[in-house]
Amino acid sequence: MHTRIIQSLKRFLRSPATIMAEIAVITLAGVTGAVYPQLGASGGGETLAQLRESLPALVTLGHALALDRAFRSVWFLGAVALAFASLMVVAVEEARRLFRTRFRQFAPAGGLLIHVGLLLVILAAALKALFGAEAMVDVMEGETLPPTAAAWAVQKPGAWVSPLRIASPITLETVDARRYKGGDLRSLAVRLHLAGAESPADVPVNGSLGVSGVRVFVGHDYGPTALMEWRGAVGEPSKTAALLKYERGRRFEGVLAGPAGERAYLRATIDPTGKRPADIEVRVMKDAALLFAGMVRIGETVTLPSGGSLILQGTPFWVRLHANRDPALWLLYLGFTCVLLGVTVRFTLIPLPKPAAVPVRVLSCKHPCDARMPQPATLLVLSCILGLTACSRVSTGEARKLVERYNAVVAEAYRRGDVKLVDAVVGPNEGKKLAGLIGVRLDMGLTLDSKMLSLEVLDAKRSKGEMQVRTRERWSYCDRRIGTGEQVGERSEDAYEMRYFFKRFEKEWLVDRIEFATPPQFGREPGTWAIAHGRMQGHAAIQAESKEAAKP
Amino acid sequence: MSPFAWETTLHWGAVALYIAGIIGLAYALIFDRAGKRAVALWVVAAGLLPHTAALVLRYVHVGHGPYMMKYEVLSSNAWIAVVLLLLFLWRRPGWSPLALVVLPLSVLMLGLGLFSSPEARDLPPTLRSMWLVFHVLFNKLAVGAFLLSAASAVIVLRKLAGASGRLLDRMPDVGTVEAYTMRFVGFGMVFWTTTIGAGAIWANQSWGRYWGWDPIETWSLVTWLGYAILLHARFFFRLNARSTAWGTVACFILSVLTILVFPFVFPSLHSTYLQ
Repeated sequence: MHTRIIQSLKRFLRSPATIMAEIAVITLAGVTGAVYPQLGASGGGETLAQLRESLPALVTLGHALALDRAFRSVWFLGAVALAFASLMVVAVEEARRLFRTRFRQFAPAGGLLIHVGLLLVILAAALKALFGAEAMVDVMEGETLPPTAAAWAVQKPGAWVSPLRIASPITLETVDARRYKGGDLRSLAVRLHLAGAESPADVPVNGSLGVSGVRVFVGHDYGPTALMEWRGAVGEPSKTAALLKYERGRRFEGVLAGPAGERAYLRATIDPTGKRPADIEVRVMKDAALLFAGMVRIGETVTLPSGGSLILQGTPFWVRLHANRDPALWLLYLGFTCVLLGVTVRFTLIPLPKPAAVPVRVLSCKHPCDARMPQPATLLVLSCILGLTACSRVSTGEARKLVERYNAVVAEAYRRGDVKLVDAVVGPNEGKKLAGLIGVRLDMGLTLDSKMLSLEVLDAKRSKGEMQVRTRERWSYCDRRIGTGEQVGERSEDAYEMRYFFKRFEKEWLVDRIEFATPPQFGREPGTWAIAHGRMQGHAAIQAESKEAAKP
Repeated sequence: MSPFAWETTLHWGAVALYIAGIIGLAYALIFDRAGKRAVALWVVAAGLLPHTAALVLRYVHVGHGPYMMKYEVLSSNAWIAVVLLLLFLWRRPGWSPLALVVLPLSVLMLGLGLFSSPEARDLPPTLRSMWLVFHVLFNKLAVGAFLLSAASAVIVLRKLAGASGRLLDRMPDVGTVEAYTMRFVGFGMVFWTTTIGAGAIWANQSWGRYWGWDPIETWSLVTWLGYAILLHARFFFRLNARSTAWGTVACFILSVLTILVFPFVFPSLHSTYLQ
């Protein structure tokens, strides 16, 4: 009875239908994982939240079927476990057959190698999930990581092991970053000194340092650190390090919180040789007031109008260090090698069996394939579909998101008097206009503090590479004096109907230009300002002009 | 002339020679001129010279292999496909009708590449690895082998549909063409497996994990599994020639989508090389 059950189970596991079903389910999981947003994947949670807004039933169903965590789902893991069992049964049979034929046949050897290889790969992945560990931390030049698990900012231990730690302290001595003439990063290497080691080790990207079974390596994330010292009017000075993150080109940015609610927006530009920056662009803001804007050199002190001061102490590089332990890596490589050898033997060296015969069809028409050619009506329908997709409506949600993002960034650029911020949302035309408009305000010693009160998307349509969005908006504006944040003139509430023209630049929708769809309604009348180099029109006029070019 | 102007001129020269070769080959096969067929294939081989020169010039200009941006990727894929075709036809001259499927697809790839942005992009540090070279090289070889398999599958389908003519009559019988189709799939599988293996080793070096379910990684696994299903169906179920041929064409489409289309659709670590 017992033997019969085992025999039936074996028959089931090695039946072609079972094997095909297993491969099909694993393939389906792959397709699901690649197409459907996955929880835990970069941006997956955000995409799912957006999808929930438009298609809540789909997201609920997807969650119930574990489609949003396809590779951790019971059905996928079940299919892999079943495939593992099938592979074992098939491999044992192939091995027996190979021994029976005294290794005179190549075919079973090829099949056996493939199946044993796949078994090893699955086993290696399972062992890694149980006994492997990963960790990550951002470290500055000169900083030493203690030999504890807590030294690592992010830990991903396997199910059956404790978090990862390195046996001895490790110091990041230097970071060597080299750049191409164009500014892109060419190479990145760190010099690590393990306590007790005779000499430090240079570890480049794609290289590693082995420390008692743990592999320490460097990713491509790095940047300058701004070591800032805040000195308030009262109290002890505070020292903080801001890790500036890569923004674009050779630009790195970061934010630092001050002791009295200030925020320092920091920006460093690495020169083409890749050296540490000698100065940093600093903008200090408190609420909506810009207190200071300018370049600060290492060792320089910036005195703030509030009485405090800010000192830039240094700009060492930071780098992201990774560590991992994978006890089954060799098993994985062995598995890969077996699969590769097996596929080579099985599918390229041995004669292939003939397929089942299919009668050749003899058709009466001159061109037999004409019978399968798409009919003109089908082609017409396909053309219509293609035509419709070429100029189509855009979802209001997507259009709203783009407009909101643009407005948030541009409003912040006006508030900080920082035109470089808008690079992420505008094309070159609009960028130039904004540079002029924000520059005019800075010349006058002013920044614009604006707040969007309401936004309504009236219409959005898309054609190839372009998108047009019409909105109705209400805004509240006021000007503030740089240094004190004092409000200049009255606050104004304006209403507009705008038309945004987005263009596709390298996979991103950027604003190419904007215009008023109807004449704007301003809350206050234009006045005049006296400025050093003459007189110019007041707020509303500039505002109108800036609205034509950009927001706000 | 700037290096880019040279590259473009050489590329268009290759396109012209390939097209001349296709026309010559079609003429030779339709009107049964054996001598002309050899001349046409020599014209195609001559097209490889400016094509190779353009790729070499590109390498000298940008300082890395042809694996960044559509322009480089498509041009090198077309080059590999033409080289594999000519190597095969050198050993099996009777299969020259295959060229009438492979060459137009190669010219199409080259044309698409030429109409995309030719901007030269520097290689980031993570891509500076010997494993990348293996990863990309075997991927291109796999594309070439799958293209040949798809082309012979099309011939199988035409023969099974009862089509005849001088072109098809020159080809061996359905069973032989089908066996070669499977052979091409087999070689493609070897190359694709190596691509995945080399990619995994490289990913472990750069990112500390050999598999991360990145969308393109996943699609490459799906393609591998697709071909595994095809081969299992062919051997376990003795799938008939027509279904096998359709399966081969479907898997080829899947491989092309994985390499050339999905990187634009799904945000992925692999998108960098095409955008």
